[in-house]
Amino acid sequence: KKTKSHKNPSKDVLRGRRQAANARERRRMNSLNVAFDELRGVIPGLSDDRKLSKYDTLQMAQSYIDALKEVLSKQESDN
Amino acid sequence: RRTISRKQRSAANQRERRRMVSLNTAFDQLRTRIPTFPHEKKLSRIQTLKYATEYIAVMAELLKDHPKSDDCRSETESEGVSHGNQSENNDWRQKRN
Repeated sequence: KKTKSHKNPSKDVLRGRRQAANARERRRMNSLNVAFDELRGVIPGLSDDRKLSKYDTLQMAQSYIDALKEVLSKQESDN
Repeated sequence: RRTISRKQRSAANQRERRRMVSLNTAFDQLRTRIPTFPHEKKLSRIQTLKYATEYIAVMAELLKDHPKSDDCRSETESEGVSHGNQSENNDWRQKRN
């Protein structure tokens, strides 16, 4: 017996695959956005209703790390 | 029902590409601030965000526990944090979980 393995998937199958891929991508984007929010949570920025844009969050995080590093190294040299 | 001309779509695509490029550059700049292991692969975007958050939280906590003072007689050994060595570079990742 020959089965038509893996050839000519039906339209339903194709649609199902697209839907699954879309769902995966939505979940991925969501986890990324959650991570952005968590980063916003540890850096100084605007209030809850007017949060930093993604770009600004990244910029601010980078400058903040630089600033913290400098304070910490000064702290160590004082001790 | 949206009617966008081909030109408008193409212009929008270009703008989006440029936006993504600038965002990715910002990601790259943040990556350079995060200590990583020598031959580790470049951090993914999600990793960059998570590690940056963790790193900042750890440093902020360090600052809180050991405030700058002229005299530095504030709490010393209680936390077991060692001063004066830079080995904290990658240890901060083992800190939680």
